[in-house]
Amino acid sequence: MKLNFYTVYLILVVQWFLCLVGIWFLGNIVADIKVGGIVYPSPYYFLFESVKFSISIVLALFWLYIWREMAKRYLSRSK
Amino acid sequence: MIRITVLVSLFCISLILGLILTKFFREIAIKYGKMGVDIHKIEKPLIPEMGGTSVFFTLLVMNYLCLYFRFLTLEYFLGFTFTIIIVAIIGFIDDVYKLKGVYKPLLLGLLAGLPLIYFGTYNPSIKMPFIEGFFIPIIYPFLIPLVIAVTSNSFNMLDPFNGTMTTGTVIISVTLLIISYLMGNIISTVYLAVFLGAVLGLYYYNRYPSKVFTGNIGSLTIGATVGIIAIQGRMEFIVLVAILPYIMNSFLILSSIKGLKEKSEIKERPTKLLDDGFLEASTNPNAPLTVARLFLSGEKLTELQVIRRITLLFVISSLLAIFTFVMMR
Repeated sequence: MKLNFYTVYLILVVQWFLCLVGIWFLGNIVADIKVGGIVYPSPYYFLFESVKFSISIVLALFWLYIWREMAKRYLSRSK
Repeated sequence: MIRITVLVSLFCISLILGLILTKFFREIAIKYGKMGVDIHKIEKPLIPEMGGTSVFFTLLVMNYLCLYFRFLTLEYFLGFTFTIIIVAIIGFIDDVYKLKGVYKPLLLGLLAGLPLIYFGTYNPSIKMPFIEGFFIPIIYPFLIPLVIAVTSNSFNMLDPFNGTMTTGTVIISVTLLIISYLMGNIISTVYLAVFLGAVLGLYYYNRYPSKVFTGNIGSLTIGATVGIIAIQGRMEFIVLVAILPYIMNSFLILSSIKGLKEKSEIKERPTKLLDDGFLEASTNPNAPLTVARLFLSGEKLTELQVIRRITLLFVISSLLAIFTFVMMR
């Protein structure tokens, strides 16, 4: 099936939805991670925060990867 | 909550100043021969460049006015002002001397966010849907330069056709202004009213067919301002959703050309102009992947048709930003 330009808008909406799924994951799983009662401004908080942030970065990179793949596939199937 | 009459007054003053200054800088560009070729038209007209300088000066004057009338605190004023001064200087140097691909984002990343960090005009708890606040007090300051570099460069990259960047910015600014007003956030509401006026003044001359180009100074300043509003106004996530088309475009370009390169360093163009005045997507696999190339894939379009399709993308991203805001309430 040849894809038309409306697919570009659909990709944007799908990416927004995936972004929300990622945020839900961050908010309900990652943000609730508690390590031995470490609270800000404990000297170990940086380590704890780095873990949270690293998980966010991995999710963001995966999100961008999906975006690129969708754009590439659209390009090859819209010709 | 700030009164609507105050916002309308700020917007009107900013718009008038924006219109006058854009006309002024257009004439200055003509006088000094700072002209650029409009490559998407057969007749290849010469258009005055650096019209976006008006946005920078309008924001400077209007922000001082906001400080004078106590809509802004001194810290917020200084953080904002020094950041856009740094960004505008980088944009000016790039316009005049053409910085290499890697230097522009590097300079923006290293320098532009420093005033915001120094004056401490940020809150390290990011507001998001489903979350009370994503609290990253140690890492957040390090992210500020990255945010300014990403927003300013993204806006700079989605400016290939007449008025695409300014049209998108106007749509996004209106959306963010409404959201910010409903949030009761005085600082970002004031910034956005002023910003919308300044950008509309530029848009009047930059819209299709362009009478002036924004230049790097304009697009970088506009992008950085959106980044500052996101940080100082605590609207990081909503702004991210609103500017998704910019992020989409810049990410696709960077991933397809594999690194930071200046326009002149990229041999293949994503689109080509045909003899009948229509535009077509490049079939070369090495050409950069852009939003315009996606829209032109498989069909021939006029420049105006591509602009309309890109504009609809901004309308959709703005609607998504409103949905996101509703989910956060």
